Amino acid sequence: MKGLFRKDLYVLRSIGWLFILLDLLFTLIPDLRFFAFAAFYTVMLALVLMQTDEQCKFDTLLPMLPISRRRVVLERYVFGWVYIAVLSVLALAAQALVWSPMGHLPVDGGYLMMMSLDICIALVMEGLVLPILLRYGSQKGRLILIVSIGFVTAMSVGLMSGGYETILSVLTHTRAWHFLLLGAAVSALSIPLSLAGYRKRIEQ
Amino acid sequence: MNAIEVRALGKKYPGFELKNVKFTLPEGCIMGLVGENGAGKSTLIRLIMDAAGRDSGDVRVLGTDNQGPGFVKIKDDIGVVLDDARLPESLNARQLGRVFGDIYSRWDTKVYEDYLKRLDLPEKKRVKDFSRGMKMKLALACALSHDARLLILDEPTGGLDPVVRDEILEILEDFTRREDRSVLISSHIVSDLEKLCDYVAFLHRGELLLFEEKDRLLEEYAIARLPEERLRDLPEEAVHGVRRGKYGAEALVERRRVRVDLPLERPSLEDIIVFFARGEKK
Repeated sequence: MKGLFRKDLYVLRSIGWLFILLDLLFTLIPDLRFFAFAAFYTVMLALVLMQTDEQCKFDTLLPMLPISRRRVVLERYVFGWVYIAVLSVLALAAQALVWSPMGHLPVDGGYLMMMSLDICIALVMEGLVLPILLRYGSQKGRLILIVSIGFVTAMSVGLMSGGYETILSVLTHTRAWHFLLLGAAVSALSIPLSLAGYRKRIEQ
Repeated sequence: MNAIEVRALGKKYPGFELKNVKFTLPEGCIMGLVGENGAGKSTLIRLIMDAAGRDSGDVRVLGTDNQGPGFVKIKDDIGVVLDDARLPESLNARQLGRVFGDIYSRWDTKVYEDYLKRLDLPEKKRVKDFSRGMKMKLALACALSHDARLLILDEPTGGLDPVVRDEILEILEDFTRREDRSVLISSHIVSDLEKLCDYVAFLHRGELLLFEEKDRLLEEYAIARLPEERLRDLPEEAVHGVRRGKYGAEALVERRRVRVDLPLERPSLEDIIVFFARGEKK
C-alpha cells in the first residue's frame, strides 16, 4: 500500500497542487460554509487520481503487481482520509495564523462543529463515490458524480427552504463526534462494496 | 519445477473466445508467444497473472495456483512488461524507482540505477515526455530490478526501431544467463523470438495451434518447393500448409513423413508460423 500511496503523492504533487491551493484558500474564508468545498475537492481528487492511472493504463498493470486487491482498494480510502485530516489541520492552522492577528479568531466550538460536519460530508461523499469509481472506472464514475452533485444540491435547497428550522434544531442537538461517527460508518460500509466492485471489474 | 503450467484455459468475451489453451513452460526456459493482433496473447497474459477472471481451466505460476491466496506473494518473483509500458506518466524514473521499491520486497535501487545508466534513461524527466522506446526500456528496468525469477513481457519490442529492439533482446539474453530464470514473451515479430526462445507457442484466433521446442520445430518441419501438379504426390498427413505462386508451390511438410530424396529447405520460424496460420492444404 505504501508504494501506491507514494505514487498518488507524486501525482498529487505534479498535477494536483491546484486542489490543495484551492482547498486552502477556501478554508481561509471565515464563512464556515465554504469549508464544504474542501469535502467536494476530496472526492474530486479521488476521481483525478483514478483518471491519471487510467489515462496511462497503469490500472491494467496494477493487478499484476504484488499488491492484493484489498490493499489497492484500501489505499484509495486511506489517501482520502489522510487528505481530509491534513486539510483539517491546515485549515485550523491557517485560520489561526491569518485571523488571530486581526483580533478575530473564528475557531470556536461552532467552527469545530461545522468542520466535523464537513469531514462527515467528505467521508460520506467518498464512501458513495469510490465504489462506483472502482467498479465502473473514472469515466462512468464522473458522470454519476455530476448527477449526484446536482441531486444533492437540489435536495439541500429544498430542505433549507422547507425545513430550515428542523435542520437547525437537529444540528444543535448533534455533537461533533456524531458526524464523525456517521462518516466512519459510511466508510466502513463502503469499503466492502468497493472491494466487490473492484473484483468484478478485474475479473471481467 | 515449471515456471508456468496452463491447463484447458478458457475465457469468453463478446466476439472472442480463448479456447482450451494448454502448455507448460519449464523453469529456465524462454517461451515466445506468437500470434496476430487480436489472437488472444494479451488476454492469455492477463489470465496467467490473474488480472482477468477465467471461465475454465487452471493456471500455476512458479508452482502456485494463480487464484490461490499465495499468488500475491509469488508476484514478487515476477517482472511484468506490458505493451505501452503502462507506467504512471506524471512521475519521473527516480520517483518510479521509489514507488516500485515500496512495492517489491527485493527491489535493488543500485541495480535499477545501473539499468537507467545502461539504457541511457534520464532520471528526472517525466515518463510522459519519454519516447515509446524509452518507456519500454524503463518498464524493462523496473521489471529487472527486483530479482525476478520469471519475466512476462507483452509485445515489448512492438513498434520500436531495430536498435532499441536489439538492446532489449540483449538485456533479456543477459537475464536468462542464470538457469533458474524463465521468460514468457509475446510478440508478432517472429524474428525477434527466433533469436531468443527455447519454446514457441502460436496462438491463432484464440486457439493454441502450436506449442513446441523451437529447435525441434525447425528440425521437424521443412519446405518443399515443387510444381503445383506434384503437390498430390506428397502424403496428406505430411503437409501442414501450402503456398501457391506463379512459379510453383511451396509446402510445409514434416520431414519424417516425406520421401528422403525430396529436396527440402530449412524453414524459418516465420515460415512455419505463416503456414500454420493460413492452414491451406492441398
